Amino acid sequence: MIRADRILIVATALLVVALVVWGMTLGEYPASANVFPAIAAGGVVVFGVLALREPPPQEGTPLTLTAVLWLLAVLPLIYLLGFRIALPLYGLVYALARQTKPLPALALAIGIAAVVEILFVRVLGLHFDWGWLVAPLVR
Amino acid sequence: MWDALLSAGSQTLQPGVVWAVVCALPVGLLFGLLPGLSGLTAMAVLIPFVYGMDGFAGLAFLLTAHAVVSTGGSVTAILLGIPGSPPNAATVVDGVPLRNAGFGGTAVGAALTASAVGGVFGALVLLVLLPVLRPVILMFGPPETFLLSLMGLTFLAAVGAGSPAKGLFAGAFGIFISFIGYEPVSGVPRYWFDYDYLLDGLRLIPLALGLFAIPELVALASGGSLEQSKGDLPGKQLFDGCKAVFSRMGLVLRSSAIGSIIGIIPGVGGETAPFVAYAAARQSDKNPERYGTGIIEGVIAPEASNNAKEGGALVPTLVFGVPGSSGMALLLGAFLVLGLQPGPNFLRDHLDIGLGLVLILAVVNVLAAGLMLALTPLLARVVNVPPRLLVPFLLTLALLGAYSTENNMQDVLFTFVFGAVGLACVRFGFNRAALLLGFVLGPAVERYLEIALNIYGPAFIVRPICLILIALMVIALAAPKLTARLRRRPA
Repeated sequence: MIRADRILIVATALLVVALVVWGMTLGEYPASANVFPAIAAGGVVVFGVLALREPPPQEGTPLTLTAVLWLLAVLPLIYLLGFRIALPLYGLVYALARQTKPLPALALAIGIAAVVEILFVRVLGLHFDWGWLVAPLVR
Repeated sequence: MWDALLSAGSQTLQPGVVWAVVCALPVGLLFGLLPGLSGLTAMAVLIPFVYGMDGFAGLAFLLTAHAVVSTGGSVTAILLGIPGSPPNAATVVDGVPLRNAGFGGTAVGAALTASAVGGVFGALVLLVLLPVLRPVILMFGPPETFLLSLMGLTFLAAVGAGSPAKGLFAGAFGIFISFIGYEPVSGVPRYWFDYDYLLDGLRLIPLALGLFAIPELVALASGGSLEQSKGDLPGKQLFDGCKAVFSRMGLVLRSSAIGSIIGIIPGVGGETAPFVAYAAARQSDKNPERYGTGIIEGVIAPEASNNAKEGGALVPTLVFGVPGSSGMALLLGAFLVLGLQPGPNFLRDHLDIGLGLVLILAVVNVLAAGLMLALTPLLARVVNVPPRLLVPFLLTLALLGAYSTENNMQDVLFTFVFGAVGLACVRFGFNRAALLLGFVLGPAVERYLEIALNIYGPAFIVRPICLILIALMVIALAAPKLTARLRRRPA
């Protein structure tokens, strides 16, 4: 069976070389703009070939797909509700889903809301757009 | 000179200045502790407050907040595995394995002490060189800056643990992705695929957060936990960390010198200094293979250089009015707001202010380390917080840190994209620090080589400083192999 790290190395090297070739041909970049990307791509290919000979990586901390999906879930939530609602809500749901009692989960959500409002909105003066679902209601 | 120094001392002790330092210190540390918020953000937020302040107090206020950010960031880098600011990324490499081995307190103690010593060293360098450095800096043109950046790239294989080939592969990939966006000389946009965000290239903070924070959060959400100290009380561990720094003064001074030199040269990029110091420490060590596995030298070297570089970065700002970094550019703006004009005549007219800033820099670095040492037992309790509460909170800080750089949602999106790259690096043993170093240095190498070739042609490499830098590079590359061969030779 082909090792996953080798597939990753080959795919990355192919992608980088394809981008450089595209830049030289269809991208019509001037020669000076191609020199350094081509050198870097050469480095990716040469060191990639050397890296292919390396032994397989040792198993480290297990990373689960569920954890990745949980983290990714915050992204659509931000687009739908905006940072100011999405982040505290995400904290609440995440904590409840991980068997946290309602009170600590609520405290976490309030804590997150406080950080967002006090530090990022008041002190840093950041402007957060409302999400697609909330924006019509706020207007 | 002595009169100016006495005047600087008395100015520094003015109540208004002391008050400004006391107010700015916790703000700078807080910005360091929070992932994604940098010294630049701290200065940008604080600049409006200097209006109406006395000139020197205003400068002390901003410089304090800027100078101590990386001190705060080192604690986050070690305890959470998330660099508080991009320059703290090199500290993660050995800080996290140390924490995982139950020596988080020792690592934090060493990082904070090294930061203080490095900061004082940087200030001393500034003090000694300020009056005499002008001709030396003038000798550093684009060719020399190019070679310095190239020198940084030669350290790619030496940053972190694991296979050098994989480190170089990751570094080369980091260099390649740094070329996305406008080409620095011709202005041609590259590899942007009609996606406007890519015109200005990929951004450093989402990259750093994606590479380091997302994998750490996934590990926590996957059921991992932040390791707690083994047996020793946090206070005892902190003390051990402090002692470790003083028993390795050679390393501390060497790393601080690297930080100061890189800080002095405008254009190389302050983020480079800790990586170069780390790599230099590794290459000069008898057992370089221990680096990346959790050794205290791997924490001391980057942190000493991190704080020393701020003193160096002040030199071109004060002497030429040329900021060495974006943070210094904001400080330069504050000088103008306060009615002061840095540049060739600044030291002649305001030597006392220049020396006062040196004193401030030295004092705040020590104060910041002391304050953080006092607070660390409290902050270290974060490792006792259950991951189910920690993950959403840290994710909030990371995402808002990414967003706050440009108020741009794309930065949040790209934090996740780089998070995927970071996860692949962790899973398959590629070196994330090398990738970040390549990304930081790639544009500098390209920009300064093109400028050097346009001005001097290929003959630029025979300029005296260029020849010295090339010789240093060859020595740095050949030294580990030569040393290893000499050690293998039977006595």
